[in-house]
Amino acid sequence: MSTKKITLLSSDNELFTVDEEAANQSLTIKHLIEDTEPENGVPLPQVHSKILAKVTEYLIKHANEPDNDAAAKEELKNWDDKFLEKVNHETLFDLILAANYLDIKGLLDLTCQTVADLMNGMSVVEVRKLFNIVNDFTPEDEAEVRKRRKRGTKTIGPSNDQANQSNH
Amino acid sequence: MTLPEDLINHIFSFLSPKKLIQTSLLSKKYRTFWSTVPISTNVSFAVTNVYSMNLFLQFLRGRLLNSTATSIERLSIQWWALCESRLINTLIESALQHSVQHLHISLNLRSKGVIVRSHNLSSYTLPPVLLSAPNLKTLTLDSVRLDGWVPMTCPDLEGLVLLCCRGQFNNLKGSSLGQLRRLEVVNYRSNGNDIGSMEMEAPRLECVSYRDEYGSIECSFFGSAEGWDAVDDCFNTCRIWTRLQQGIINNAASSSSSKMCQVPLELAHHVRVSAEGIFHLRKEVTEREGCSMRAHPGKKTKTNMNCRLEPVERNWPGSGSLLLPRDNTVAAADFFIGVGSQPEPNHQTSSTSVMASAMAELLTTTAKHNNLNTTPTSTTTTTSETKIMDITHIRSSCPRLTITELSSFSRSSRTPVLTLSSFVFRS
Repeated sequence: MSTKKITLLSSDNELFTVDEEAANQSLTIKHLIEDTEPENGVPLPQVHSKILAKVTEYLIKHANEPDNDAAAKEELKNWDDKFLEKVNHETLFDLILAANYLDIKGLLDLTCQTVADLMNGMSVVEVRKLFNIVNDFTPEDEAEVRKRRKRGTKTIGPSNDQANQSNH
Repeated sequence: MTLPEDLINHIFSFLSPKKLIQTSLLSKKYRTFWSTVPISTNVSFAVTNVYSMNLFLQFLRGRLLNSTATSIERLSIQWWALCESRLINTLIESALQHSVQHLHISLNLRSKGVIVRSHNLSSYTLPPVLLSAPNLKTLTLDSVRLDGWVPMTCPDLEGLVLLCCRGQFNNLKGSSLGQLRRLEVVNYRSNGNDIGSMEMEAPRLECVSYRDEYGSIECSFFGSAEGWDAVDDCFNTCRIWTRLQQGIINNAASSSSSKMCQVPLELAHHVRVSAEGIFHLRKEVTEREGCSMRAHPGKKTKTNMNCRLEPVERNWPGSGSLLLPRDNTVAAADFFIGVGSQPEPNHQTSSTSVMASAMAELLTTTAKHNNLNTTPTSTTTTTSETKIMDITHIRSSCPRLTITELSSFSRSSRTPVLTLSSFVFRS
C-alpha cells in the first residue's frame, strides 16, 4: 500500500514531507488538505521551520501509536521524555503554540505537562517571569495573603474553619 | 513571549493541587483563577497535618464555589495527632462528596500518649455515610477500633484492608458487597483471645489474607472460569455468607442446608500458608466435624518449609481436600503425617488405613513431581500418643503445601490454630 506524502510549508518557506497518516494527527493540517487540496505544500505561515522540524519529528514518531503493546508504549514514553529533554523554555512555548494551532492533542498535552513539571520546582516569582505575569498585588495584599496562609498552619479546630471561610 | 490565557489554563490543569492553589499568589487576576481550572486527571491528597488538611479543604471549597467538577481519586488521612472527630468527619465527608475512590484512614489508637489534648478517639465513630459510600473502591482502615455495630454496604467496594485494627470482628457486618474481591487483615488486635467472627455477603470475594507477627495466610479462590461459573448461580440464589471466623475465612452458607455446605468445597478454596516461616501443622480433634491444624511459627527461611500434619480427628478424611499444585514453589519440604493421639478406639484402624492410603497417594504424587523412579521410603514411628509417618526423603522440589477449606484460625495465647474441616491428598 503506497502512502500519500504530504508536504508542509513553514513560515520561512522550508518544505517538510511526511506521510499522510502522520500529518493527519494534526486536525488543522487534515482539514486544510480536505478543504483546499494544496498542490505546492500545505502553507503553515504561523510555524517557523525550526519548530516545524520538531513537530514533524513528533508526528512521524507518533504515526503508529501502539494499542496494547506495553513495551512499545514504554518505549514511546521514553522517546517523549527525550524529545523535550534539552528544549529551552522559549522553544517549549513555541511548540505549545504550534501544537495548539495545528491542533495536535498529544503534543499539546505533552508540552503542557512538561511546563507544569517545570513549575513544580519554581517559586512564585519565577512562575511570574515564565508567563510574563505582572505582580499587581500591593505589599499590603501580599502580606495579608501570606499571613492567612501562615495562620492556617498554626490553628486547629474552629479558628481554622473561620480562616477558611474568610477566604471566600 | 506570552502564551494566551487558555493555554496557560491548560498548562495549569496539569499541576498538582498544591501547586495549583499556589498560583493564587501570582497576581490579582489569578487570585481565584485556580478554582476554575478544569483538572485533567483525578487528584490525590495525603492529609498528614493541619497544613495539608487546610489545603485539601480549601481546594474543595474553591472548586465547589465555582462548581468545577472534581473527583478525588485517592485520599489518605494519616494523622496520628488528629484528635477531633468532627474534623475527621469533615475530611471524610468532603472526600465522599467528590466521589473519592480510594480512601485510607489511619488514626493511631495504639498509644494514648500520642493523642494530644483531652480528646480521646477511642469513641470515634466512622460517619455512617462512609459505610455506604457509592463510589468507594478501596478502603483501608488503619488503627481503627471496631466498636459497636459497623454495618457496611458499599456497592462498589473492591478491596477492604484492616491494618492494626482493634475490637471484635463481629462488629463489622458486610452486606451487599457485590464487588468486594479482596479482604486483607493485618496485625489485628483483639481485646481478648477471641477476636470473633466476621460476616460478609460478598459473592465475588476472591482473596482473603491474614497476616500478623506469627505468619501470614492467604486464601484465594480458584478463579477458573468454569469452576466459578458453576457455583455462581448457586452463590446468587443462596445467600452465601463469607465468614471470617476467628481470623480466617470460613465460607459457609447462611443456612445450614447441605447444598450450600458443598459450595465451598466445589470452589476449592485455596489457602496458602506463608512459606517464609516453618510451620508445624498439627491436626487436632475438635468438637465439630473435622479437625484443626496447629501452626507453630518457626525459624524464618525462604526455601524450606516443614509441615507436620497430625490428623487425629474421628472422621478422617472427611470431604475436603488437600491440593498439591504442580507449581513447585517450595524447594524442600518435610511432611510428617501422624495418626493418633486420642481417637476413639473403633475409629483408629480406619483412620490409620485412610492415612496410609493418603500417604501412599502423596508419595506417588511427589514421586511423579520429582520424576523419581522409586517410591520414597516412608518410616512409620509409633510414639506413646502419636503414630507418625515420617517422610523425610522428600526433599527436593516438593510441591507447595496447599490446604483447602481452612475454616478457622484463632490465636489462643501465643499459638495460632488453624482449623481444617477435613482434607485429602490429591495430585
